[in-house]
Parts: sequence; C-alpha cells; structure tokens
Amino acid sequence: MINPHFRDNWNKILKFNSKVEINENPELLEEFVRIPLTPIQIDAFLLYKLTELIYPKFIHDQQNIADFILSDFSIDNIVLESYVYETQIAGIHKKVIHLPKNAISIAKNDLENIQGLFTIIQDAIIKENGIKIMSIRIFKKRAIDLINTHCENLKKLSFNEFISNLLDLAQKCIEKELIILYPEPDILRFMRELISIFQDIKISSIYNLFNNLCPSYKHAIFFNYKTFSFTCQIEKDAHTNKVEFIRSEQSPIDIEESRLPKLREDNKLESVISLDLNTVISFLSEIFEQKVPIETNQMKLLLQKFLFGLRSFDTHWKMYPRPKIYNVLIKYLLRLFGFNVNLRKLSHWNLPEFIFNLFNSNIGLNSKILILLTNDRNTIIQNAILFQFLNGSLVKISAVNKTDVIDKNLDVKEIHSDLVEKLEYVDFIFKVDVDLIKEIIEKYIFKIHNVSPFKLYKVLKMAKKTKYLEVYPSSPAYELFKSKSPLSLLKLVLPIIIDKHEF
Amino acid sequence: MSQPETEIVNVVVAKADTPLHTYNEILTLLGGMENFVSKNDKILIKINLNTPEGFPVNTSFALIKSMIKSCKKAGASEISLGSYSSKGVKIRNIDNLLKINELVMPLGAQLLFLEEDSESELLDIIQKCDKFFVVNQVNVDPLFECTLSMMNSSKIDILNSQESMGQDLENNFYKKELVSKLLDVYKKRKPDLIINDLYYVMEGAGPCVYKDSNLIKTQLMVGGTDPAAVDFVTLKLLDINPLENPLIIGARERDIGITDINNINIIGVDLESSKVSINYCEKNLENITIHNCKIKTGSTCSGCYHIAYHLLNIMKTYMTKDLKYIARQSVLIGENPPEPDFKKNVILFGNCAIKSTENFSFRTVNTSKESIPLSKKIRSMFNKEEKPNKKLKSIEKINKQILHIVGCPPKLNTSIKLISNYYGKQQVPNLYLYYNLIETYASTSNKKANNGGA
Repeated sequence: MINPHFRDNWNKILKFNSKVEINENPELLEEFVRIPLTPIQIDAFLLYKLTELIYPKFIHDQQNIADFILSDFSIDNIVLESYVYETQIAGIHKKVIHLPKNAISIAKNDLENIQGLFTIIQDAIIKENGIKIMSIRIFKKRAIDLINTHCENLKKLSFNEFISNLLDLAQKCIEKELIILYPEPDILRFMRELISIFQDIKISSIYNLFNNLCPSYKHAIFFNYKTFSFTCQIEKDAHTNKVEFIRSEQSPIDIEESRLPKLREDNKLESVISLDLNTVISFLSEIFEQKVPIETNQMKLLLQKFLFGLRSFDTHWKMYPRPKIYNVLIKYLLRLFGFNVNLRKLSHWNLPEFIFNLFNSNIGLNSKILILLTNDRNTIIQNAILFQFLNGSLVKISAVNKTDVIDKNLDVKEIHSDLVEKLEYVDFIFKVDVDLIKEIIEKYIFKIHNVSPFKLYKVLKMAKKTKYLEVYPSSPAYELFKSKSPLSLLKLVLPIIIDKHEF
Repeated sequence: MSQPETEIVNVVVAKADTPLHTYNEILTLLGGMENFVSKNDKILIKINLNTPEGFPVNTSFALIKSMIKSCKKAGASEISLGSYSSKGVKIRNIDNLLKINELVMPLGAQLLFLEEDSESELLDIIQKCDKFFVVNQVNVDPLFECTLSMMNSSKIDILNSQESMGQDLENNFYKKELVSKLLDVYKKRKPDLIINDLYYVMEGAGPCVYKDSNLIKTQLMVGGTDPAAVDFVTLKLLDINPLENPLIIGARERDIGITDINNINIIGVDLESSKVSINYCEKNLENITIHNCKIKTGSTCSGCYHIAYHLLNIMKTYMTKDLKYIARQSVLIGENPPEPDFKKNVILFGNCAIKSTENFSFRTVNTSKESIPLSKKIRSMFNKEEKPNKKLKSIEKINKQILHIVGCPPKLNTSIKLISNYYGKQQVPNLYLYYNLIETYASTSNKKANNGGA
C-alpha cells in the first residue's frame, strides 16, 4: 500500500533506531537515511536526536502510537491497515507490529467522536497486545495515495518542485482532514487554522513567490543544543536550491566562535549564524500554541519575544562575519551625528505596542488592504493579494483575480474604484515593486552581516519613490513618511526603535 | 413642535450575518428606500468623518456606498455627504487623504466641506435638501456613553471647540451646552431616515482608536424616522437606561422626537434577547492607568473631563516608552485636586486645576544651601583647627517643573503640543511622532489644497 521508496527508507530508520540503544557509541555509526517524504539525506543519528527532541515538543510526548489507514468508501469497517509502534522514547519508532485485519474495526460514524474511538482502540490494543497506546494517527486512504504520488515523483523533481509538492500535500491533508491525530497536537491545529486564513491561496505559491524574491545565497545555520549540534547549509543559485544537514563531530561545548570562521571558509559560505536550538524550539512552540487568527495582544507578545531574540546578539545568536552595525567605531561615529543605532538596545518591549497602535489608528480596526506586487519598476502587476483585518487581527488572505483593470492598468486610483465595486470595499491599496522587496530581503535578511545605516538610508530613499511604493488612499503615517527626508525620518524614528540608556 | 401623545413611531432593529445584509434588512423592514426617496430628490446624508483614521472611527464606507446606491436606485438626483471632524482636522483635509470624493463621485454623490460654510449657509443646506438622512457609527463615548445619531448633526469640533477663557464652565455646563448645540439642528429640521450602525461597536476606550479600544460584533443595526426614538432603542440595546442619557433628556425637554417606549413600535428582532453588554469609557479619570503617571482629580467639569479623557488615553497609547524615562509625572485635573506625590513634572490641566492649586505646596520647592560667612571660610583655609559652623539656609523657589494647560476645557491638540514642547522631542519621541502625524495631515493637505488639490 505504501510506496516502496518511502517504506524502505522508513524501515531503515526503524532499524537504525533499534541499533542506537544497544550500541555503546551510537554517534559513531555512520549511516545515512532520507528525511521521510523528502529527498534530503541526513545522518541517521542526527535524525534520531532531532526526532527525540522535536517529536515530544511538537507532536506528542507520551509513549506508544497506533497508526490506522482508513478506507474512504466503506461504512461499517473502514480500517484497511493498522500498526502499533512501541516507543520507549516518545517519537522514536523502532519496532512495528502489523495488527491483523479486523483486529480493530472502526465505523465511519465513529470518527465523529474521536475521543471515544481512542478509548475503544486503547482498550482493544491493551487486551490483544498488552501495549497501552497513548496516541493514534489516522491516515485516510486518500492521504496515502497523495503521499505515494509525492514519493514516486521525488526522484524526478527539482528541489523547489519538491518543496512545492510537499507543501501542497500538507495543505491538502490538513485542509481536507485526511490525517487525524489524537490527542491533536497544537502544531496540527495551528496549521489547520492558518490554512483556513489563506482561503484559496496555495502555501506552495507563497513559497515560490518568496523564493523568487530571494537573491542567490550560500549560508549556514549552526544549531546548538545541550547534547548535540548540527549545521544546516542552505544555498540558492540561479538554477536551484540546496539544503544539507551536517552533524557536528565536536561536542557542543567545543564549538563556538572558533568553529564559525572555519566553517565559513571550508564551505565558501557568505555567513554563518549560530543559534541556540532550544530557544528556537521554545519560540516555535509558543507560536503553535496560539489560536489563529492570533489576537493583537498575543501578536504583540510574540513580536516582543522575537525582537528580544534579535537584540540578544552574542547571547542567543552569533554570526560570522560580525554584522558591521555592531562595530563599536561605526556606532560611535553615527552617535556623533545624532543617530543611535545600537541594535543591542532595540526597544523590544515598546516597539510592538507602538507598531500595532500606529497601524490600528491609521488603517482602522477592521480593514481590507490590497497588496499589488509590480514588476520591472512598476510596469506589470505580478500579484494581487487581499489582506483582511478584524479587530486588528489578520483573518483572511486571498488572491484577487486579475481583472481587466488590474491587468491593463497601473493607476491605483482606477484599480481602487474598480475593486471597490467587486470586493465591497477596499480600504487601502499598497502598490509595491518587487525590486524594493528584493532589496529589503537581500539587505536585511540575507546580507545582514553587511547591513549599515547607509544601506538603510538607501532603502528608505527607494521606498519614497512612487515607482517602488505607492499607497492609495493615503494615510497620515504614509504622508509623514513621504514628507520627511530619509535622514530626518531616521532621526524621528530611531529614538522610538532604540532604547535610550546604554546600561 | 410638540408631538401629539398618541403618535407612535416605528423603529427597526435588524440582525444579519454581514453589515450590508443588516442594512438591507433595515430598509426592507422600513418599506424600502422608495418609501423615503422620490424621483429627483436632493439628499443630504450625514456621516461620521472624525479624523483620517480607519473604521470604526468613521462610518463604514461600504455602508455609505450602499446607501448612495439605494438612493440613486430610488430616483435621487443629487446626493451630498456631510460631516464635521474632530481633533482640529478639516473635512477637506480628510478628503485629501482618504479620497472620499473620488470614491463617491463615480456613484453620483459628492462630499461637502460643511465646516467651510457659515452657520446660516449650513442650515440652508440642511433645510433646502429634500431628504436628510443620518448614518451613524455607534462607539463608546466618554460623555454620552456612546456616539448616538443625535450627536452626528451639529457643527461642533467636539475636541477642539472654542474654549471659554473668561469664565470657567462649571460642572455639567459644557455637557449641557454641547447637548443644546447638538439638538439645535433638530429644531430646524429632523432627519427623514436615521441608521445607527452598531454591527461593530468600539468598546473600552473610544470613539477614537486607543490602546484599550476593542471591537465587538453585535450584528445589529437600528433604523427609523425619529432620531430620539432610534437613539432610545439603541441605548436600550446597549443595556443603558435611555432616560439617564443627557441627549435623550435634552430631546425630551425640547420635545424633539419620541422618548417614551410606549410610543415606539419596535419591528424586527426582539429587543430584550438582543441586548449586548459592552465595556464603556472609564468614568473616573484616576482609574486610567498610565505607566509612571499619577492622575489626581478634583471636582471636574464635564468639559475638562471630556478632553482630559482623550489626552490621558493618547498618553496611555503613545507615551509608554516616553514615560518610562520621564519616570515621574502627575496630572492634576479639576478644582482642588489632591497634592501630587512628586513635585516633578506636574501637569495642571485646565483653568480650574491651575487656579485652585495656586497655594498648594507643590508650587514651591525648598532648597537648602550651606551658609558660611566668607571671612570664616578664608580663616578656616589657613587654620585647619578652626572649623566654621555650618548653617543650612533654606531657600524657597518657585517650582518650574509645572506645565500649565490653560482653558476650560483646553484644546486637545494644543495640550499635546504643550506637553511635547515641555519635555522636548528627545524626551518624548513617541509623543513627538504622534504630534508630527497630526501636524502632517493638516499641513500636507493644506499644501495640496494650495497646489490646486481637491
């Protein structure tokens, strides 16, 4: 039933996992497996350690799991296959028990009361196999078919196509409830609620859009945890993307700054970022705990935490080469000219509050904002995306079909009056050229080690030109942005962004 | 004009799944727009256009659009929209930013700049139109509990009205004056159709968007032909006793409309089961919690309360970081407020607070200075054994760390400017930016207008 390519790899993982406990030095085992559902090869021990860490945090932290494959058509007993995994460590699958047919029967109606169904299954498995399962995973046959098709195509697809396919697969399975987990982990609920916000937009198209906006890069992220560490090398060139996971052979204590320059040099990387894996996981779990649409207050809290992480350079994250903006001499010289750009003093506690208050008062608590992405300095409209806010929270993102007006016209006024008719009302249209977004992404994400106030000035100057950014109708904040020179704008905004006292 | 006691008016309460469906339901229950508009009628629609901010500070533009369309469909020849702003912004300036005319003109309507007309011209406009409609967004309001349709029709920039410098407005004089001004227009002309849009209501802090503002969905709209009756039912829906509302009391005293529930025929959803409970504006200014700021109030007139309410909410929304560094600030409001806890950064808000605290101890600061005669000082320099007797001399100085915001009530924008100037832009960058925003939309729009803009 399951694609052999997937099954063989899964069996290899199970085999390796069972070897780990009996082996004195499992880290010395040099075996490679694929990350399930991907073509990415990974050190089997690294996958073991990552699963051991991530599965209990994001999926389920109790032992023993039962998997069921259900028919889409039967009514009385819809179970096609059932398996039990005895997992001593949550998430570490070692041995699989294939349950005989009719060992457990599930009727279609039983799915309506998943809690009751779980108790019945739990009792039946204890009785038959003496294993107390703590969670169940239900895969509808349609999900298995989709997974099989995905796995069959893996060899033929380029990296970007594989990611798009995987995202489509996940979106379909979650949206149509083809995969059910009980107890439902927060991540699954979060993803389902998030997908419902996206309406008719495919997550894969967002990935492709973002990928096209990214420049060519070659970076590495060095993840550090108490017991292990690894490097994730990401690369994009003109033709394709690449992701590679490398387990670090040194113990995490030995690694630190000395390793980063070497890693950069050996792999000819642009930069290496060192992150504390525990911090990243804690932050992600907090995000997944949120109910979507995320309430404004929760959003402020998350943004506060993110900004706190950002300002904790040298404590929560490191980078090699060190970003120029942290250079003491540059900071001092800028201070002499009246610009305080000490990012270690980023006002993480005030900035989210300030941003949301400014947004709510300028845009309104309920609003519809249309983002028009233009190409080639405002000559062609590439995408039209509508964002809908309710009580300050983002509740809907939808793609707007290109009308004749959008297709043939670049005048925001005409587009606005056309769409006001079609979409009931549109509060604001932001026409943004992809060149500006590319510039921001390149300067502030991929080449952050090179970012300097002069580059910030350049981006601000660019954003002031209507061929790169146009807002219709205007708002007080946009008028202020346009009326001030980049330098006076920086002078006005920097004291808000950066805290005053150095100590 | 006095109403005959037996006159019964219909008030429609509608509930639906979208604001536009609710509006259509209102019209259907009232017999359709054709019931109000005849062929070639000239129509004036009064809307809320307070500041260049988004919904719900202003009436929903989707609703305005629908109303224009239904008027046109019913045969109206000329449709005008009118409003008065607040926070010292002219409607022309709001239009320059939000491009309302560009939105409504293709639909066959136009936005009037009513504040540019004199009082008599204004009454002329209202009296000369064939039909006068009011579409009002309901939000919480510090003075009248919520923004009612009867607040919507008069020429008052409620937050920047001309202050009375000569005589202080005591107790509820300001509120009464306001009620009288608001209701004056109804003596001349009553609206033909009133819609109170409470599909979404801003609660907590309002009617502008502040930190404590929250939007709740009630899915309700109230419509009718009698402004007092529509507002009466709206208040009932919001679980407020209408007979305690100053506007309803004012309307009753002036015999404007129906303010007796027995004479109101409610059509549509059941009033009792549709009641909604919302959080209203803070009545006690001292309960508005602002970081590092102590608020002390004495006997406060309604005018000072009203403006201070907005000022304190602006402080709460935009000055959190500023006040973290300022550390100590006191705001004294009203007559005979208690002494501030600290003598530093005392803001005296309004004439009452300034006058009544003239003899308060925080007005002066005592500094002590060592006083040793010079001869003794010199002698002690040469003769180390001889130590001069130190005498501490106490000097009383005028406390210069006090900001006076004059007026009863003071203007809101002036108050923000004075506070920003008092601390300086380095000390209060957040408030300075907010002040710049207010200034920018006034000045940008003026610039555009000078350059031949709309």
